[in-house]
Amino acid sequence: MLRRRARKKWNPSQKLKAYAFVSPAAILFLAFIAIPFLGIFVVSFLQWDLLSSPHWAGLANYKALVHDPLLGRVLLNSLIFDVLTTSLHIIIGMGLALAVNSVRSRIVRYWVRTAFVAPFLMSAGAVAVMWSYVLSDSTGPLSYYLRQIGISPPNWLGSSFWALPSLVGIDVWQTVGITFIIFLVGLQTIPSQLYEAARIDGAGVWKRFRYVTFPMLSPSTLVASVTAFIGAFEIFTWPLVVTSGGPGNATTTIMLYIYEVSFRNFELGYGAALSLVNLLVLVAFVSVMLWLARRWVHYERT
Amino acid sequence: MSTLSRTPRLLGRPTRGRIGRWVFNTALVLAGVIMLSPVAWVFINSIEPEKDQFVLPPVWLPHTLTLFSYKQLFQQIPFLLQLGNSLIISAAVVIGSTIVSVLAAYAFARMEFPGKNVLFVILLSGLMLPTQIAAVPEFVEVKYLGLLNTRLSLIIPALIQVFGIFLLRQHFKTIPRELEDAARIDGAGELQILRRVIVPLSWPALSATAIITTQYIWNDFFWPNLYITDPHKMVAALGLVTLQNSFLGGPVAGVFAGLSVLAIPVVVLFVLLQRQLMEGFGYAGVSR
Repeated sequence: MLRRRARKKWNPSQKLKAYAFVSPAAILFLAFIAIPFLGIFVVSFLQWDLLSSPHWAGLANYKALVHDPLLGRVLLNSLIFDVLTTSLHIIIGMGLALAVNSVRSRIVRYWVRTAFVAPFLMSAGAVAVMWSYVLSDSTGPLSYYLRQIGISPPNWLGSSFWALPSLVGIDVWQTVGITFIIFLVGLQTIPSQLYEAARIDGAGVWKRFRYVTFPMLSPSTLVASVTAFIGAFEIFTWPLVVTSGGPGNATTTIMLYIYEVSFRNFELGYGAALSLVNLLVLVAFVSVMLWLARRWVHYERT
Repeated sequence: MSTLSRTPRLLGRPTRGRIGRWVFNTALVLAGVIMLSPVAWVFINSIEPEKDQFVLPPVWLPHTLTLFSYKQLFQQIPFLLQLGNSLIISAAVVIGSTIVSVLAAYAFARMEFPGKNVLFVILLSGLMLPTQIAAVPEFVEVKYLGLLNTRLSLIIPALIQVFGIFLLRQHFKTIPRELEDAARIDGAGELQILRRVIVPLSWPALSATAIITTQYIWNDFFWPNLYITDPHKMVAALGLVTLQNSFLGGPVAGVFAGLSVLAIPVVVLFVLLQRQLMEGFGYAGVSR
């Protein structure tokens, strides 16, 4: 009796305790995610260079969006980069996972996993610096070896056609490992009875892939493509460090453009308006992906 | 979780033949070699004497080795300090955000309070959207908090990792309630239950959260580049980019040394801890 009363006195109610547990996360979320995202709307109505106090700009920033000759270009750059990157992620990631899964030698599997996943753990800034040397036209070993085997390479980072695909290459090099792992784990979840059944039915390699592996992997494919798509749309480090958005504006992505407008020209209001465009375009694309996925992603009902 | 165990063979039949298998394995090994060759090129350049550096064809087997590139690096920028910054920031974020996530995840998984579902849905909306998109208001906020050019600017906003909350909540929900009830009868409070029952049963989820967070912070270039201009507060990768820029992108021995310091330990770490890391990433990947 006595003990229970003492405990009641010392223990705050369950509700209060729950709020205490949630509050660090809730406060941090409010401060560093919710307020900044809502802040996009607020700042987009201002004219502000951070040095002087902000002025109300009404819809001026939104009007400027319509007349911005670069906006279409940078969105297109981001989209091209994104579609190329995401497709390569799925193709290479899935192909590699299938290949590694069919190899018996432990050493080979270990080596391939190391080589393809270790870059994922390197710092993006360092990766960018490294590739700017590797792809350099004059001192880069890649162009040298291509010439040695009789291929005349383009000026990777200096050509307005090849610069963006080069950045795609860097991105895939660093991040394809995570997609590879997602597929590797996905393959573990496919029941082997399905393959036995398919084999009894006389299905060959292709048919087993087409009618068993591919549909059974579709949840992994969805996760991998949405993750890759969101990451690639906001790509920033490669264009900033490797090409500075050039040549011309060939590699200026939406995120780099927002950065330059906001933090180099200090037009924060217009930067925020661009951020809103960025947000809406991304949400629209991801919604379409998720909507399409409802038709073809196969979830095993157990 | 046995992410690395093998499933039945998906490609080909076991009777494909020895030569076919040999060619296939060789191709895979070669793909791996090509994948890591840029890292090898950087590393070998960093330990070569000046006359062998940056020449074409690259000197893959140097006759003499020297550490002069490393000496240059430490003279050019406070690289050890920057490396320390990278490690301190990563460690602080991983420890801090894991505590924040564990507490919130436990409340969402096990406790009842008004507004719980609404709050959780709002949190989840932050799962998909990279905060980079809100960089402009975030910068303004960090500036007015007086955090610009401090290491704290990279730690405090990163303490909220919505993904960790989500992952841990999913895991906590799978732990049988009877275990907690038993502890509760023994007089344990919520914090004790969390520490004695929940956390010890959640190592796979916790290490997955920690691995993902470490990778995210270590890899991040956007925020350090935005917030830090003082070389003494920079993270290592930003220091190298700044050094490269000060030489207008030309090959600099010091930069190659710095790249090696950042890349080689990671590759070694991955070789040693491959199982744990693969399981961590895999766990996180499937749970999404």
